Amino acid sequence: MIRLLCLILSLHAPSVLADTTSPSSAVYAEISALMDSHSSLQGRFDQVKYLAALEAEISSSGRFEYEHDKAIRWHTREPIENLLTLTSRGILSEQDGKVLSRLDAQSNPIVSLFSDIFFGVMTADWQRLEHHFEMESWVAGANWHAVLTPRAHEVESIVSRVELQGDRYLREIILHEAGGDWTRIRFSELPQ
Amino acid sequence: MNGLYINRLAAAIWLLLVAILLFSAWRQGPVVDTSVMALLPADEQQPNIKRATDHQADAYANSLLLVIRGQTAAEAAEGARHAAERLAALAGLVNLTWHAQGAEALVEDLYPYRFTVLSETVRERLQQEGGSAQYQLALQRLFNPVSGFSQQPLEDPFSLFVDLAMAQQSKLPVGADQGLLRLIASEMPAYLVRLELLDDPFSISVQARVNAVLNPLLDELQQRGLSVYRSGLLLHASAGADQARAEISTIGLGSILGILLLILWAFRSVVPILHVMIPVATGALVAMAVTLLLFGRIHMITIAFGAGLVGVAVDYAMHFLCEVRVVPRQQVIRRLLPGLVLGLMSSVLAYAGLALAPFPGLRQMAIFSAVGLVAAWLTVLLWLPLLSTRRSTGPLPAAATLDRWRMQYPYITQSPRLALVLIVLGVCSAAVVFQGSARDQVALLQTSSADLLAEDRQVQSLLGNGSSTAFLLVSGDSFEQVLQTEEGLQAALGSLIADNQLQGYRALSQVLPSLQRQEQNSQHVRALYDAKWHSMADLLNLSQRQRSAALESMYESTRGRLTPQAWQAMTLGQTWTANIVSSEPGDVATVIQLQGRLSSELKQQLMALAEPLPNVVFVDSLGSMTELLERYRAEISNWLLLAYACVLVLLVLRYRFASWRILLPPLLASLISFAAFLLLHDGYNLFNLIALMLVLGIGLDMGIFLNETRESAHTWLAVTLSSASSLLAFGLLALSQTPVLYHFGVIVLPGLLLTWLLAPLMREFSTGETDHG
Repeated sequence: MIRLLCLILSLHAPSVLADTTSPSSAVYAEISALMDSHSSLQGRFDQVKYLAALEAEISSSGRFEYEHDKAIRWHTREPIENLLTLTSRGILSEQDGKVLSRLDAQSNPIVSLFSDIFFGVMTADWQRLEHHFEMESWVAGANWHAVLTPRAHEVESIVSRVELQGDRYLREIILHEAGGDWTRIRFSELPQ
Repeated sequence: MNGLYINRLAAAIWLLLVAILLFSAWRQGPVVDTSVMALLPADEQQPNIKRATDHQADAYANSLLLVIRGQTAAEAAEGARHAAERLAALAGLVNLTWHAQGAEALVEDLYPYRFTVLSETVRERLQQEGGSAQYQLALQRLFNPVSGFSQQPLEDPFSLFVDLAMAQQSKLPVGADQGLLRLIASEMPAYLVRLELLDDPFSISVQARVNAVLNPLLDELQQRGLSVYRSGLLLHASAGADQARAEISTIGLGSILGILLLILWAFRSVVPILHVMIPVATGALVAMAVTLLLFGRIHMITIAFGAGLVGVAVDYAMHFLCEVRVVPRQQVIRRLLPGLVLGLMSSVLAYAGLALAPFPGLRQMAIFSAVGLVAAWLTVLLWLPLLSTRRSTGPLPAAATLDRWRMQYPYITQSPRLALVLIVLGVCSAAVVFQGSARDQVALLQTSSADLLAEDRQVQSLLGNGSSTAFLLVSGDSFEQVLQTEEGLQAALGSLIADNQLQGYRALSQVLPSLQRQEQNSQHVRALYDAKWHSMADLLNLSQRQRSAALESMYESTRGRLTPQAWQAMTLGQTWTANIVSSEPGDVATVIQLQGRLSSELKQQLMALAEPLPNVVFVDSLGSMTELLERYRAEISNWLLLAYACVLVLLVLRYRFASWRILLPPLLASLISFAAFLLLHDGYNLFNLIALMLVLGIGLDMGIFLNETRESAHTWLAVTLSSASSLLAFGLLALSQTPVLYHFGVIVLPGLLLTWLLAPLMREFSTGETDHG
């Protein structure tokens, strides 16, 4: 917990000096202006997940790619092999081409909400995110930083708080879950 | 005078009796039924099937559901909140549910049973390859960027509870969204507001109170551009009551006005109106009171037929009023008594026959009519002589007018050509009737409009509720036995779903496995731990202490069992009450609800599925209702033939050869009307036959009185007035929107008219009028 707080503080430190908060839609526009827009993007991710029940972290890494508004493929390669595909229709989980589970967004509002949030966060889709979150943000030069707090209880049961950080690209995401677990994802090997 | 004294005493006793009956019924309060189910035979079904059907119907009866749908989730949610705010005014009358309780919280109760209550899919995964698919899935969930649930790598490393929670939630038709109940099956955003009625949905005051809040609310929501769909018995009951009210105030008012004009024309005075109305009103009120006291409630259709009863009861008063003009008052009753007794006997006999049918609707109608007739009859006999003290005698001009018209009427015995025409007509009609086919549709009994029914079905399908009239009933000595039987059926039902025949089903065993299955499940889980726990623990870098704690917790949990008692005590269990018909030890019964439209082919398969199993029955009450209508139609046609035979015997005993003069008019009129109906409609039904019985009853009355008074002009006036009023009272039902009433009226209208036209043809040939008999 202490470590987590330090992490958050350290992330916040530069931005506090830089700017004051401004009304959300204006900020979205500001951040959007800083970012390159891509209809598709791919790269590498490194993930650290903190499991509160074990008081331990587990690391994983892999490749990701997305097509704007269509699909996100989240391909974990280490330490396990798993491909997660998110579309507006649902979430598909595969291992070595074999389907492990298929969740239908149509019949399950939680899946649909989950998929919507995941899409919004991974692609920094501000319009989508505004629907679910209150947003605070800081801009310092070419860098930006945003903290999202859920508006509704249902969203809070999935993520209690989201931190996003980047420049031209989204560089880092920290997702906090209600149970005390958190996940930090860093993106690299993005196109230059 | 002694006679007068006895008469007064009898009148006073009758008055007291009427007052007591009305008072007791008034204290009980009126409850008006409009439900189709109330017309179903009570003791026709096997008791356990009836109990299950009632249980399904009750679940529907006590709830009123509103689905508020909009273009956007925000608009619809705002509408639902607004509705909840308004409906809060009904507190005390209804329990309102619109807050999402949070499906996760409900399912959380099952966490201790995660190793014994497994979801269908987990069970399948664990049965294959030592559960390796479940292991891979658990790993994936562990490394997911967001899991959506709190990870329990020690207590539930294979995330069995996640699957269980998802499976249980998908069995719930509503999910939490913005703190509201969102309907998952709806493509456009839709929210549910549920009202649980704490009072009888058939009570008119309950309906009025609910509608006073609901109707303005519906308008407001529609103005906001939201669509609202409703479901609930109260809506049908209240629509039925509205329709009855509208028809009573149009058809009913029309017939009363017609009767009043008729009396004014005949007597040139308003006083006789009072003399006619008193017996009729007393008869109807006593009938209603007795029906309410006997049945506890009264059906809308009974009341409508009761309004018709007015027509026959007018008969008795008319005879008294007409005769009192030309016969000394002391002799009137003595002179009328044979006719009155015979008339009452034949009518009551005809109606009482209906009470033999085990149709509660028919039974109510029979009791209502018989009691009403007897009460009106007693009122004429006991009160009218005392009421009509003012002496207004002398022949009535109307009687003379009618008699002059009758004088020009041919005699059938004097006109062979006319006789031939009638014989040909009768034979042809008989041929048509003989060829006629029956059409017994359940739709006949439906009193609700098609729109309301469609709206209701839409809500029920959004809720994933199966048909409440067709389901599988599973019974046994214990929950264990019933659940095991259900589990045995799951495979067959699954393959019906796979064949796209069945849309889905909802069975208790899907969420509450039998203890036998829970034991199997716990063995599967132990096998999974044996095969995969080491790899999992290594991947997570668990310490030795963590490893042994996890195993300890697993062994502990696999020993736990979810008992039916524990399940029923959970909030989650309460969302399944519709599936549990009885949970008494030694007598447990559950219902497997079937979703989607059930084709007749599917029904056959379900029946075949249940056939070899002694504890499983496929119940299809709508289907059996058609069968019942058919059976009772057949029964009543037999009763009609029997009634004609009985009446013939009765008539022959008194009138010998002249009996044909009495029997032939109603018989011919019935044949012709029925034949005409058959030529114009697809087929006949139960209610046409009941109408024929009425034609017989009124036709007999007419013939008997004409014979008893030897065709006196005033009797002719009396029977004319009573036929005309019966025609106004019953025949106008042909204008009703309610199918049952229409099918009744459409036969009565021509039937009575023809009886009245035919009766004078059959009179005895004479050259002049025998005025006083």
